[in-house]
Amino acid sequence: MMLQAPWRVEHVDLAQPIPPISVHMGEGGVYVILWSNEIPVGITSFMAAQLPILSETFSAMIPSIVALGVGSRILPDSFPGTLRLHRSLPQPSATGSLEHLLSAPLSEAFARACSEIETTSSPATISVVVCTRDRGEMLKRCLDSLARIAKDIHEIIVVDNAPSSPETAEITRGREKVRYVAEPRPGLSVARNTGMRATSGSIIAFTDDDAVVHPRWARRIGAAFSHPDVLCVTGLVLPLELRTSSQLSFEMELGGFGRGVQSHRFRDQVFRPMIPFGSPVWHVGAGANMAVRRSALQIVGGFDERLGAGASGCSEDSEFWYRILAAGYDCRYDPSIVVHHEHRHTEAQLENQMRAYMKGHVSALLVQWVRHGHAGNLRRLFLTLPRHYVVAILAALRPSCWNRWRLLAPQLTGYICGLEALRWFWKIDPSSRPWPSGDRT
Amino acid sequence: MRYLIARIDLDEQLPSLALKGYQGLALILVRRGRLIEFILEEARGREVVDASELAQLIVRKASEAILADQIRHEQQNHLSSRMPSVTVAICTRNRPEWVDRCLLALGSLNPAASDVAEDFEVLVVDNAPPDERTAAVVARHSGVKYVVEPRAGLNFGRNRALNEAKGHFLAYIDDDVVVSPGWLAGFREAWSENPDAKAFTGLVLPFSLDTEAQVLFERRGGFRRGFRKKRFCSVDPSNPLAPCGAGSFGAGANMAFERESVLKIGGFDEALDTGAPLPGGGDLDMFYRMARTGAPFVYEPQFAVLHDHRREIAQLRRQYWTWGLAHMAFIVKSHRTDPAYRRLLRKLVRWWFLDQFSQFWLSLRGRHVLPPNMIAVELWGGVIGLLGEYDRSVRRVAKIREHYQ
Repeated sequence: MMLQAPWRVEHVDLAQPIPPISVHMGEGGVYVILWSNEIPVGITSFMAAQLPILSETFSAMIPSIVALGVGSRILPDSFPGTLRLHRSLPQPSATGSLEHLLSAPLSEAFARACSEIETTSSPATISVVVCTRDRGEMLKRCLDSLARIAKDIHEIIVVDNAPSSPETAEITRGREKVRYVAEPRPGLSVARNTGMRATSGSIIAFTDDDAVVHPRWARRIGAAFSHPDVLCVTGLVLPLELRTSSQLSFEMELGGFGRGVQSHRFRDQVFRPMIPFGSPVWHVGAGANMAVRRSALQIVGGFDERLGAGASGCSEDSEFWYRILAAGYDCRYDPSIVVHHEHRHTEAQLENQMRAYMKGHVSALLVQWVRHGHAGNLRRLFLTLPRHYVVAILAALRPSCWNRWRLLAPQLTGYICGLEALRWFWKIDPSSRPWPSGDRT
Repeated sequence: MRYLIARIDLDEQLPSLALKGYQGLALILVRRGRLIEFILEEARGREVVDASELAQLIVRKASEAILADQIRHEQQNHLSSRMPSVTVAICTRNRPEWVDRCLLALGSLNPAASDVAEDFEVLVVDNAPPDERTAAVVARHSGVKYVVEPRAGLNFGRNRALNEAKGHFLAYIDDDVVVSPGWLAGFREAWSENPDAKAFTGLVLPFSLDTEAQVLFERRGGFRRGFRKKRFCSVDPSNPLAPCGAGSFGAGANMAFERESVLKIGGFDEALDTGAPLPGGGDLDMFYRMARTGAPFVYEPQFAVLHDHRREIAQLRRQYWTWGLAHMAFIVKSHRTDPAYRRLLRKLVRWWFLDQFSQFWLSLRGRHVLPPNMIAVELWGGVIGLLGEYDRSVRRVAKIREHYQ
């Protein structure tokens, strides 16, 4: 089904009277995010033809939209992950107690759970790393959002990656807590590693220059690290806008960066049981909204500089999570940690992105296989993905589905280009870490 | 094969259920008088399910539904005091005991009908009755209106009800259902939450699971459409076949419409749902045509009835046959009358056959609830339905009309 851009992104606070939902002139639909206590608890969307929806109608829909988001926060045992494991594995099932489930009132329990994540006083100091390249306007917007929460942040490192002008340096000048670091070698992994080396906080948080952080972003990151096993925390990436058709298809057809409103712990829930099938580490989150404990650098190293934008394309983040999880530590996804991301505007950018994603993914699978010897990565690379694409190609051969090639073709090219990483085979030393932290700082 | 049906009130102490002699368990979860969830579970040799096991099962299967209900409870919902007048029509043929049971349930609604609707009327349409028994049963219930529709066929009866009814809304229930106590209150809930809707359907749960045929039917999904409120429009992002896949809207055993709107689109198609040999499709056709008017279509789980499924395997097989037959007859008819949606309707045919074939394949490998022959029967019904069944039915109905003119 072709969706018609532009869509409006609407935020609804459940503490306020529920508004009716309607479209304005020319809008193709509305993407609605439901908030409670400044936490996103539900996401839904309406096409223009489904609207208007009266406020009483919308109120009646809300309980089932937000039940998972609310439940996973106050009763994690009764709401295990929504991530599906391979069909041959036992699916996670709820183990909580019925008394807790039936205990009222919910709204108070939820408010209590929410205030806990705000008040957990963590001794952590948070350094923020923003990698950028020639995107002055966006960077300014990102830094402005960080400036509003400057009191929660120890420092902000802006890494200027192979810049073509001094614009970034000028933007960062005179800003509170902001430090400018130039990295002439292109590549996102390189820039992130450089940024990390420049930090001194106990937690290093990453966001992208095309994102805007939520006012409670840093505080909640600090609280999410309360368990010592957690080496990496990711959060929810919401669309900042859905103005163009490529932004819309990225969010609605390709799933966007969002990972839902239910929190997850990855080590035992998903990673371990799925090793034989290729662990789906990309579910952990998105690099545009993640934070790492400094000690992780000693344990697993930094980002692999062959991966990521400017190199293989992407998946430097998921490969990093793979190392953390394989080392027996935990990654956590907490949707209360929010950034708003401005997706790519044009069709050409979206196609490039799809190609880069697939290429990066294939490279990362190969790197993970060599480094850890988990054959599941090969199974995914040479069995699961080809099978998926054969089905997709057959479906797209039907005349009525030719528009699917628009996004399918770049993915196929990306897959083939990614196999180029096979030449790294004999160069990867399984025992090495991409960036041993001690020797280069 | 029998399953134990247990109504579990979550506000009370959980019971321990004795499963001796039962192959499984069907739980209807209720809280504060509202239906929360339905759970179907095999016994797997257990003779007793004690309270703690039951609690685990409920947490595993119904956490989300229980929480959603609690959230709703804590929301401040302002229900309108009373809804406009409602007529409930029971179209029946030669099943007086069932009509009796159905009328009894309508008499014990909770809250009482007078508190829910401005006016409430019960209408029994006796379709081509061979004797006076139904009339006698109706006479025992006070305030029930009785009319005879001499032309045999469910949709003749439904159209008769349309003309006889006084209510602003007209609810249809089959004679083989029993309304749940909160049925009318559920209708009011759906209406007050969706004042712009013209058509409503509701949950259909099993009345009994005493025979293998009933258990099979329910385990394959029965008439259940879930415990989430739904609102259908002419588009649905999650269903590319909307609004043609009208089966997802609900079931004809429990549906209600604004009477004026049904009259405006010309009532029910009398060539569908004619009784044998084409006892079906009339509901699908009405759902589809209502959805095509552009008015929202609402499914409400609290607007619930219990349906007495076919008891014999042969009857069940016949039911699946008529599902295939009627579904395709409906599609053939819509394809003819609604050129704007022809492409989508053809897609629906393709999807339906692919889906049936894949179910058949699963069944052959022993991975389906139904034996292969049941699915084959439904498939074959679909083939016959495509091959001119609607036209044959139109001719049959024309003859009936002639006869009574």
